[in-house]
Amino acid sequence: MISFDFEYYTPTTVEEAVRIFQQADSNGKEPLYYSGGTEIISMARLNQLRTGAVIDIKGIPACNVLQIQQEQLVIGAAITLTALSEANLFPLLGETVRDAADHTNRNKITVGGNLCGKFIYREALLPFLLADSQLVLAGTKGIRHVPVHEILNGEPRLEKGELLVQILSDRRYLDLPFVTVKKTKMEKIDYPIVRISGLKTKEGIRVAFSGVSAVPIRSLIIEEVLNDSAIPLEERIESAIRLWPVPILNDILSSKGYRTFVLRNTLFDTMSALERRRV
Amino acid sequence: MKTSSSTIDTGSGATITINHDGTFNLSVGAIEIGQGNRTIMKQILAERMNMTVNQVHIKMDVDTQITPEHWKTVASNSTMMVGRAVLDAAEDVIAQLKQNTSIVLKRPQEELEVGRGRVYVKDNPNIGLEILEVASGYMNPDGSASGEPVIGRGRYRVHQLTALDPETGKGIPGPQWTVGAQAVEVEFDTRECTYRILKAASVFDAGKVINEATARGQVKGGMSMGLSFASREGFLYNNAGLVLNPQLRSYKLTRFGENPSYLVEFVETPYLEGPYGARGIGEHGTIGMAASLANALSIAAGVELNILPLTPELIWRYKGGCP
Repeated sequence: MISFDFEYYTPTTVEEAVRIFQQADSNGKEPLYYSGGTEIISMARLNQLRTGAVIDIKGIPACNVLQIQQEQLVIGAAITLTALSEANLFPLLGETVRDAADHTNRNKITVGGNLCGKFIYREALLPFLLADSQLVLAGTKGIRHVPVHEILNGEPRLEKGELLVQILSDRRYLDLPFVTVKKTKMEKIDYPIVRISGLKTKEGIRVAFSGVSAVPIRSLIIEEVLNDSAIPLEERIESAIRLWPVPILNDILSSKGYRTFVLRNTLFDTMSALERRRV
Repeated sequence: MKTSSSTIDTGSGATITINHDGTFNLSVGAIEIGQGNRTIMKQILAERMNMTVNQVHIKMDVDTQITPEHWKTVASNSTMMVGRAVLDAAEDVIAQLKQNTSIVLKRPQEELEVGRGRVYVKDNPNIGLEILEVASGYMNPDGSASGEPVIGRGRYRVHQLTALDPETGKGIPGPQWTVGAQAVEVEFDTRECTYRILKAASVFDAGKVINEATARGQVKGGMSMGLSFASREGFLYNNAGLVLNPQLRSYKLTRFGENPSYLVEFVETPYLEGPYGARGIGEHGTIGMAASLANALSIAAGVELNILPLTPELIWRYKGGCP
């Protein structure tokens, strides 16, 4: 049960959504944009979240786009993970989100919620980091396009009241060779202790990680080390782990030591598979 | 091998009444918790009365105002104890039916038999009365009546239990023993220390399998439970003693699809005290699973694993992965 009352808004345009947010915020409602609702409902039930207003963005047409437009794949923030997997316009993305949560939840979880939410895994982010995607954000100053790296690599850095409308991905990246692997403590359906998504471009292999640390990351330093083919792969991986830019997690899913062990193995498998592939 | 460690004064009761259409109402004090107790008690009574199970109505709930007490629905003992009480109640009903019929047919009770909804003469089954005619006494064609209403009362008490001697361990802790063997087959990844449980097997001496489907279901369910806690379940605490995994989101159970293929078989060495020779099998499916899984993984991993739950990280530690 959710133990507090809140207002529920259903705007039909981005501008309206942003305006409602500002009003509700100035009235002290601590509003939240609402899409699939899985995270808001779960956290509200546990009293880990409180809000006086939710603004449901699912009625906004721009948030429901899922198509190739010119040379870009446009994904609206309200598209569900199930829809992404089924349309499979970006196979790396489709496969990565196919084993986030369970099917019932994937029918609800939206890409916007997964990218901007409070849960630390945000697995849908990894393919966008690898494809250098652009975010379409709406705020009081209008619409802005920002590289995903600037806003969502590591801790999310959206401005207050800013709405993620769409994610734009360059078509050239969509069909490149990829590997995406999720390792859990034990279960098929659980949060990752290590999730690696890898993409092979002409310039080299790109890799992004979730579950290893408290934030999902793509690190150019790590990629540089891993792509140095003059050095044996095992040594590259040891160097990458030494240079890990954020602390490796130690929690109830896995100790830091075991996580590092799984990271090492999974990185080896991912790199080996991608090195064999041709662009 | 398991017996219960019941208290010394364990007992059970059953009552039977008869409807005007000749069907039976059975009431017992064990709780139906999905183990199939109600199905089995119907079967036991129907078997004894030589009638179909559809002619026995069993009260699903327990109403402590009217239901005879059963010690506790624990200890893998309900089939044995309640089953015996049901048989005792059936004997009581049969005796009363014979008594009522004996007056009408003017035959000694010893010459009568009860079955197929009738009370009839053993030597000449054509001579007899429907149970429904004598269940509340008999009404003669001239309007006079004889006999008494039939209400069956059944009791069973476990005798000869003794407390275990704290020094020697000698004593009789439970009324019955059930023996069996269990095994688990795993596929183990020697690098990652991950595994899949491919097959789990149980064979128990059930004495007499009263209902094969519920017996298999009970054992299979127990195996699933055993494998689940052996492989992944357990509360995790922080230094202040707070549970860190208080939800099913973080406290994981085996999901459908992660189960092995199950093999469940029975042998039948009758237990003479049990109803139709049946022994308890309620909890036995659970018991050996953890040890079986630990043994299978110990062989596969080459280290002796004796802590639960058997997560890949635990095995990795045992193999010297990390302090």
